[in-house]
Amino acid sequence: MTVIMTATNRCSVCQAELCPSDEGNLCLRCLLSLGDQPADDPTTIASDRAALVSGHPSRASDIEPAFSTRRFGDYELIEEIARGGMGVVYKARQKSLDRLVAVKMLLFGALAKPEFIKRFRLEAAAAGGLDHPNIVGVHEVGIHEGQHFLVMDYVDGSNLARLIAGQPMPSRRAAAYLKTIAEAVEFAHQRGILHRDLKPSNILIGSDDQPRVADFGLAKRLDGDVDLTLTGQVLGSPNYMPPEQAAGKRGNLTRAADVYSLGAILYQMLTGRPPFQADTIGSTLELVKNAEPLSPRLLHASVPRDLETICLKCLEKGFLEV
Amino acid sequence: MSTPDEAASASIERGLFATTHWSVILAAGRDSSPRSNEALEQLCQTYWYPLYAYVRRSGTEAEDAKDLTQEFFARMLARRFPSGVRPEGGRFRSYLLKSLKHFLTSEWRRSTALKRGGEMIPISFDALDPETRYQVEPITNVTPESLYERRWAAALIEQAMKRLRAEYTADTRTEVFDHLRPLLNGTERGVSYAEIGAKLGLTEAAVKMAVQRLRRRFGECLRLEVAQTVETAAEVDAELRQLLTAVAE
Repeated sequence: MTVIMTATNRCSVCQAELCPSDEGNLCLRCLLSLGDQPADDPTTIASDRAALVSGHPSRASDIEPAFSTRRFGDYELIEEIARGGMGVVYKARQKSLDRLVAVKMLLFGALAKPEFIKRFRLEAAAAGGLDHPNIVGVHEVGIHEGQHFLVMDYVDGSNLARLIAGQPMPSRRAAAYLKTIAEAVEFAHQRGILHRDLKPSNILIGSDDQPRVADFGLAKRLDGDVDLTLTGQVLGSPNYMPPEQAAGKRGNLTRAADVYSLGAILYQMLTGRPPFQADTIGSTLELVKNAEPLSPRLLHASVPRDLETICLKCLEKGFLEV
Repeated sequence: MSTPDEAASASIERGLFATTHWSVILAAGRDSSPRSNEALEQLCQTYWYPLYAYVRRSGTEAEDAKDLTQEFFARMLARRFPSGVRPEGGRFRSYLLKSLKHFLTSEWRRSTALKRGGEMIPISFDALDPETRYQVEPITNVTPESLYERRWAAALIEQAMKRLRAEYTADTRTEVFDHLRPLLNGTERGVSYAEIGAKLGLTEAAVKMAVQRLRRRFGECLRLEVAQTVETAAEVDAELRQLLTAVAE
């Protein structure tokens, strides 16, 4: 089978589908939103430009990140640390408790779609009830000056996607990560929460080398009372979603869906690539639904047989419940 | 805090609405200056594809759509603006689409004898064949108007990107721009600040700062481009939000 490298055609920030004819495969919506944030003082444009193109700050304020002094209620925003899902995440200091936190804000402010706001709230509700050392905790959710936000643990480190970076990692390390992640996911399942979007970029790795599960933006209660996804919409990340999710059967998702994603994460840790990848989302979804993954040991001979068995067991199709 | 009028006035002073503004160009008439002609040609080049996409999505075959769009712009360049559509004021996006619709429904029918090479002034619209570009448009139920607005937004972004790249190039920092550009709308896609920093000889913190500056400046360049297509500076925000709504649909 010819494996084609994935060319992502969904925006990593707002999840809008990208058109191949869009500017360099960048997202029109996100780029337009950059223009929707006028400079505080238009007269500074010329001096900013000079600083920008020369690389040498022209004023003291240019030395600091743009958000160094921005205050947001009880929080001081220090710097942007990530963009993903529907929001942008800032490293921030909570003044009253003098601690570092991560503040996630919904993109597009007042222009945010209602379903985005609901999903944002859902994330807070789902993760807020999960007090576990390997799940990124949510401390507060609210609206400040029309801007929806939620406050989470700040994890000083990286994420699993960056750690893998296309290269297989030692099997023992991969197994240790997976065990910890699986225990955290099991903890959520016991409390009735399905994650539904487990993927390497949603696994944060702290400076203590401990993984933490983040981003419950697509979570769902197992008792099925709340599902805020849109009709006919396939949500999640195609490379890591189970066949039933790829087929749009969200109502049938069970714990097995998250187990599948854990298998896909293990596969990528062991081989450096996800189990299925193609040049379009549609082709990837087809592979997820109909193809069998290559044996990890074929791609990387040093993968222990037992670990391979666990991985492929997780990726088996047709599971309804575990 | 300035009023919208003051803001518009300040913008005019800074040159945002100088002689290259579309309403000024169109009002210049046949005795316009070479600079005005050049600016008009530039406008036509920039917005050639959105109009082509509109004509195609309206059900016209590729070759006819190409001829129609070319003829429409040839008339614009010859300053034969459609009667009944006022060139002054408003948004260039709306004016151009209204003019095209007028052309398609009336003038074109009366002038088919001139088509395919008659009085056409060929303009270089794009290195990429428009039909090749059109073929990768999503096959959806998007209306011709929606597609037109989406392609209009893409054209503005393309212009802002060119402007920004030219600024970096002017300071021999094209390589920096090209490396940072993929980070304009996010940090995923397997591109990390650290990796880019290693390529550019910068620390991760310096790359983060450079990306923030790039985003901010891109936003400013985009506003400058939008300003060229609306009547006053006060309308820039409204136009941007309308385009945001259009691309989000």
